[in-house]
Amino acid sequence: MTVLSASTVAAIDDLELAARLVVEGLRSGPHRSPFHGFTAEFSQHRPYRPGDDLKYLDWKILARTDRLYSRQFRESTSMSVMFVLDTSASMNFPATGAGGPAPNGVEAPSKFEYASIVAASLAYLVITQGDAAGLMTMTGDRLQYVPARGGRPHLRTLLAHVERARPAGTWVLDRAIGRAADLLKRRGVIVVISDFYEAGDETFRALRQVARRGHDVAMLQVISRPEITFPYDADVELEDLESGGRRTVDTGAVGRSYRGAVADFLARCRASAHRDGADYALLPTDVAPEHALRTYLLKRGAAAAAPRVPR
Amino acid sequence: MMFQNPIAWLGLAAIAVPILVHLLGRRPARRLAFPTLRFVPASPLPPVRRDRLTDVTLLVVRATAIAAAAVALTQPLWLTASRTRDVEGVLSRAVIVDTSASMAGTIERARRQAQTLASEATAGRVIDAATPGAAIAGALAWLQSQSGRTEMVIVSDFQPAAIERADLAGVPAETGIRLIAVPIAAPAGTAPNATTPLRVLAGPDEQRRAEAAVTAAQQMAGEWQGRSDRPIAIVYPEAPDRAALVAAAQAIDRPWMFEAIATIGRDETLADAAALHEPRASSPEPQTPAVPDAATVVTRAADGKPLVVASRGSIDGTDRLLLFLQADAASVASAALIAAATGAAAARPPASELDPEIRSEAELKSWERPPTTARPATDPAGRSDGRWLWLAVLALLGLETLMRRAPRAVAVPAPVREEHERVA
Repeated sequence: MTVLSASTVAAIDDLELAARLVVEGLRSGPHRSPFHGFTAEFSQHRPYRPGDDLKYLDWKILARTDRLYSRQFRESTSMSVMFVLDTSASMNFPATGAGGPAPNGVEAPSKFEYASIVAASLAYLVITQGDAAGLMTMTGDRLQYVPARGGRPHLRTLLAHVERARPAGTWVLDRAIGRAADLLKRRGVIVVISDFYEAGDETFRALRQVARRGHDVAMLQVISRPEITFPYDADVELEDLESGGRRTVDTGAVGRSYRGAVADFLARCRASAHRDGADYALLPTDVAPEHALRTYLLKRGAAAAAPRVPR
Repeated sequence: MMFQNPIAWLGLAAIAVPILVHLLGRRPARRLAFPTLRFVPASPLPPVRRDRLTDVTLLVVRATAIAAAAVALTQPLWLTASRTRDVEGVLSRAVIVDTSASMAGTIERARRQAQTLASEATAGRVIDAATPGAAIAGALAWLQSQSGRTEMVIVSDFQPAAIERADLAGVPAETGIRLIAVPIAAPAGTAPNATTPLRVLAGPDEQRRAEAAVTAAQQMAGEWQGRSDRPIAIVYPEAPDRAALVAAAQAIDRPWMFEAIATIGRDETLADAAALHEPRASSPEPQTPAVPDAATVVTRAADGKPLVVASRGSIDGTDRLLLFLQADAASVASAALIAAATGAAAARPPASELDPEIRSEAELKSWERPPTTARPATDPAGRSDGRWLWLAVLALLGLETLMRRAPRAVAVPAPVREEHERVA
């Protein structure tokens, strides 16, 4: 099955269908299934049966008691994932068509469209695995959330919420992250999908606090290709989407310093995430969602399977 | 190549506008919504840095369009051989034909010659004039309205009275003058001594009175010398055929008839007689005799009623000028009318027409000159090749619009595969 490009997926009106297509692409891909890595945790031992994968054989017990037991992983329904979706105005870039033609001729999606697809696909994946998923968005001062629950009807509610959201205004990341962590009753995962333009020191402090509480934190930084490459070459009057300020620049002259500044910013975000023990992934909007998610989940799966360093 | 509207060259000054725009202006900045400006340095806009190559081309296109429009407004005319001939070969000719009495014999020949001359020119006109000198002003007025070369031709016998040197002084220098002399000849057809008797139509009772009137008129005006080509008849009230003549009478239409009744109408003796005329109470016909409807009143009596009316009628097969008299045959008016008619019928020309002398050929030659070959400022046919230049202007404007609107080539970024590694 061909991999659907970002613009193709973004062009699908029904978010549930788009999410399902991405997840099915993940499931039918040639790579190893990433599921076990996401929310699986050790549940119990069971007697070894011939044919079990020796990878799961508990060697320690064999050494102690001379009995063969297999470790069994169970997808625990108690695992909850809270998605924090950036709905600030800066996510509304590129507006339709301003990013230039996409490789297959369809218009490139905005960061918000891409983030919505990523959130929807991951939520679809989590719930169809039997786990619980919730959503947190913030518009101005108002926090809006869907509590973490399981089941298909809840999935539909969650996706409807994503579809209704529109990027506008600004938000305060640390507040959203803190509140999302409060909403998780048990240990869970906070997945922040944003461009992190508003991230400051207090954001990373909040992330550290959340991690200290025992939750997993994932930073999925969404960015569009023109923001990285700045492909303009004329006098352009730039208008800040969040603050509304305007500045006329000679884009050809400032291009180099701009690209350097952006690269620095992305590196700092990645470094902060790693320092605070959070997952980090950079998701450019021109990469097919399936590819981006697969790579991320594989990485996460590898990290999850590895023995965790106690904090 | 000639430019029919040279003042339009001033329009070339408008080329300064796109040059100024090119030097001073900058392209209006495109507005782009961007997520954040924090990475864009806050330095002021550097001095105008443009894609110079595209802008110079655009400047050239604009300047060429304006230049083409300015040249088009000068109404250029590409002079091919045939067009040059048309423009320079234009000649307007006014031919004045002497129609004075001395030309009577050769007038037809002179007119034919004049017609030929007029038709040879691009625009020609033949003017009949009894005194050519007086007609020069009218001919000049017509020539001024023509474009191209102009020439004035006078066809005459050039008696000294016909034209003076002073008359030619008013002719502008670039108008040519040609003087064609025709020899005086005896008029063909009519012998100058042939006369026609005056027909007097009177009733049997009037006859004696009519003869008395004729005698009285002869004493005053001399012998009847009517020309054979000017038959006149006087119809008295009791003329036997008067009713028939009245019924058959038509309006006068010959030039000599008009001339005759004008002369008769001016005659002072007849005017005095008309003023004194009273209808006699004892006249046998108290009723006023009928007059033709188409008659022209020549003289009126003191009471305002017509005394003499004129019309055209046929007697014995000859078309004559009929003068109907409303007074008695023995009245003073009757005699005065006969005397006046005698004068009118004779049609004596002014004495100057008898002058046998004509101007010498040398003198005439000295007055002649050819029309100048100055090229007229505009094509008489009103042609102009400006339309091709307007086509060029339209094409250049379209090109300029295309060049301005062409989307700027923005580097299309290739999707980077290495991002997979980054995510991993």
